[in-house]
Amino acid sequence: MLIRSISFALILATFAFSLQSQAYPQFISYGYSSCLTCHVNGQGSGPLNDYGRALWSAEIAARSIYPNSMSDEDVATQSGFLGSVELPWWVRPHVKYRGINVVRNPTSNARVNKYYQMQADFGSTFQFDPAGRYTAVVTYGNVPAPQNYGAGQSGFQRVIAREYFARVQIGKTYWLYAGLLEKVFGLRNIDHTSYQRAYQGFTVRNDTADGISHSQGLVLHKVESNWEVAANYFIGNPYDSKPFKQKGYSAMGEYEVGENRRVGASYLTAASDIQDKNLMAVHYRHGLSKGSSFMFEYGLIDDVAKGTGVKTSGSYNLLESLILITRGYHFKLNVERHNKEFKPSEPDKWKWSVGVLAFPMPRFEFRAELINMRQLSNQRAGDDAWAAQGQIHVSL
Amino acid sequence: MSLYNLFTVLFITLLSLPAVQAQSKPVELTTVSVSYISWVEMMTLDNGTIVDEAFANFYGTAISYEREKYHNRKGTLVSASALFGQANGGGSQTLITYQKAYQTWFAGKFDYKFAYRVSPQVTVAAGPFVMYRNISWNKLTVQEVKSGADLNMGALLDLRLRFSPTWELQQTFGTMAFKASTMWSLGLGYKF
Repeated sequence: MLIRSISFALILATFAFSLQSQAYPQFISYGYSSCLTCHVNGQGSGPLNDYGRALWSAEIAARSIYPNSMSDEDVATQSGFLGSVELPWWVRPHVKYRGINVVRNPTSNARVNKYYQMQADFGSTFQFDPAGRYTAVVTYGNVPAPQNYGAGQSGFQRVIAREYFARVQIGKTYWLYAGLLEKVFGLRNIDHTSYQRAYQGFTVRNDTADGISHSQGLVLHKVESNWEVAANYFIGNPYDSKPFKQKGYSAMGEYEVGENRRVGASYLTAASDIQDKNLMAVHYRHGLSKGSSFMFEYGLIDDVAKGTGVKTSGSYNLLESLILITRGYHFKLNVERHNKEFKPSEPDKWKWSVGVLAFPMPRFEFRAELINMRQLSNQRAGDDAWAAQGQIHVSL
Repeated sequence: MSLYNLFTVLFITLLSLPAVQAQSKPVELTTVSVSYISWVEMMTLDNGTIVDEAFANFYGTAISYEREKYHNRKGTLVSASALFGQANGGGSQTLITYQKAYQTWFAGKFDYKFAYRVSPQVTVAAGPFVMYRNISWNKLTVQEVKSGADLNMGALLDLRLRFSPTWELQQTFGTMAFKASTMWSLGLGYKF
């Protein structure tokens, strides 16, 4: 009873009060090569640290809501969970909401318009020493049950712990993480439906053969000024049914080949009762000028179905270009491709999306995209499919 | 989906963008590029009794020679391209059975674009193109097969990212006018 009361009070406190952000590996264009600069999780995604919050407000988001008399430093001081009100050093609550409106086939009679609540999270980061060598993160959120995934439900139907981990800094350059956290592999693209995340097992849906992004496990991360490497041992997501729980290990390394240019490679091997999965990828991130960048990932996916032993080997790539228009506003162009199997009959699925990525003010993100999808196969030639989508993200 | 209205706005926007300085010596560059290109054409099938509508997916390689001329940030791009590749047609229609893959084609394309250099590394460009392409569809069991138009035209939007003094990444997206739809290409350019 006491534990339940404490848990309830903790949840209430965190909800009533951090800023949670997804990973933006393209922000290498702002001169930040390592995710550790801004995120509690040094591989990116999840809650921002104080520096990351201030940076978002003072350098990345537009400042049109602030008077000219206010300096960027003044804006940064308001980036806390309660604005300029300083919270005790040991607690940093965070809240995140992401919603998307998707219009499929926007100009045809088969037009379908649907709103999806992608994320509704709340949680907190706790520091156990002022220097932050010992840190813990807990995030609860609404995750649709597998049978309701894609139904477009809003509100809270299934609130579960989406992420929890403890982080210990060992020496100056090592960090050890233990808990439920995102698996280490490739570029942490925010778009979980991307061809670079969906088929690799980094979705947010439980009970899929390919797997889910978060898994219980250990991560050891070594960060130097011009290179980093991370190794991850994982044992599965606690909310996956037993046959879908993936166990395995992964690793990712990045090396700075020039100013704001990083090349990396990743490997993952995982096994569940349903499927064995092996991934390999190389990636490249290049900051062109402040706010403008492109990043590229090419990877191979090997899946072996348990029982039948049928093996499929395919590939994918992602090219994302982000061009700064003016502070807070970017033009975005994505090119994605996925081929499930190296066979001419298996379509090469292409997806081009053109749009805007905007941070009109601190704590808000807006995305609008027009998406073209084409399949090239020797079995069937069809027309393109189109979708228009708009997203809003609010981070407190 | 027609993207012409969008392109009209882009043209006007590009033309109205300010130059940093009115007078300066123009910069001229030559770029040779290789791209992967794809587009979709509408296909008509006629078996002598009924007519059916299908689609053809084109994909292949474009080799381009381009001259760029800039006055400060604004400029023009003129390019000529030789294209070749394969096309897959049919398979999604309901009335007439027809499906053919790996049909070879070749084409010639001429582009004229208005360009704006957002930064020394980033250029956006938009403009019209004309293309002549040749393909002879295998008729298989039907009397007549035709896709798109041999001579076509359209408008393209370019994003060019210069990631070294001589190399650039080219991403192009646009639409075609006659019995064809979206064209896109992804390429690498080398500047002299």
